[in-house]
Amino acid sequence: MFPAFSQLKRQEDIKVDTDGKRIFDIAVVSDIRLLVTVNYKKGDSGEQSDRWDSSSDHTQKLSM
Amino acid sequence: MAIVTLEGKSLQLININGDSLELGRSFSVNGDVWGVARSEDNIVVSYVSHPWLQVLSMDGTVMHTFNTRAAGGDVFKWPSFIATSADGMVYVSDRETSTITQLDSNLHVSRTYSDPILQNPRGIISVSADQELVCSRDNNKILLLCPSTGAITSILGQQDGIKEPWALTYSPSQKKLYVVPNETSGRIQVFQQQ
Repeated sequence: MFPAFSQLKRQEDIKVDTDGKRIFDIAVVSDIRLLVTVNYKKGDSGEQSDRWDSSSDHTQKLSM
Repeated sequence: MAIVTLEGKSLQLININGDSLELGRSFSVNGDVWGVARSEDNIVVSYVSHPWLQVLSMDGTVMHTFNTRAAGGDVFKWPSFIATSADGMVYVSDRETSTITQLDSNLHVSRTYSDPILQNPRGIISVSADQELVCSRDNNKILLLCPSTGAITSILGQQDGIKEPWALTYSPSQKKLYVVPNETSGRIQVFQQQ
C-alpha cells in the first residue's frame, strides 16, 4: 500500500537553533528523532551561496 | 548510519546509536560533492565540480562512475540531491536542467523526467518504489513523481506555506512529512497525513 499524500494537514513548525545558519539536509533517525545538518557559515540563504565555485561556502549534506 | 559531506572533498560516516552520534570512517572523494545517498552497501554521490555521479564502497573505493560528458550528452548539468529507492533505483535532481533522472545501481540511465511544473528541483526522497517526493524550489511546490507513469503532481504549494523548499524527509511510522525551506531561520515545516 502506497502512502497517500492527497490530504496533508500542516502542524506546528519545529524550530532548530542553527545560529543563523541554513539547514542543508534532514533525515528521520527514529520515531522521535530527526537529524539535520547545517551550513558552516551564517546568513547564506541566497542562491549564490551554495555555488561551490563562487564562494567559500561549503556545506554539509546528509543521507540515511 | 549517516553520511555527511565535509568542507573540501571528503565524506564522513557517522554511526547512530540511540541518541548518540559517533564519528566513523572518513575518506577523500574525487571532487566537490553535493548529493549523497546510501544504496544498499554502497554510497552514491553527485559532484558539482564536474557533472558526474559515482557509486563508492563504504571505504571510498569507486565502484561505478557516470560521466555526463563521456556519455556524449548533457544528462546532468548540476546534479544535486540524490534518493535511492527500495528497488535499487537512483534518482537525481538537477537544478540546471530542472529534471529528475532515474538510474540503476550501476549508474545506467533508465529515464529522465521533466515537466513544466518541475522547476529548479532540490531535495528528493523515495517514499516507495513508485513514489518520489521532490522539492520544486522556484514555484514553491512539493511534487510527487510516480516513476512508472512519469506523472508529476503537486501535493503541497504556496497556499500550504511552502516557500522555496530545499530539503525534505518522511517518517512512515509517524506519517509525517518534514520540509526545510531555503532560509536561515532553522524552521522545519511539519505536515501530517490524514
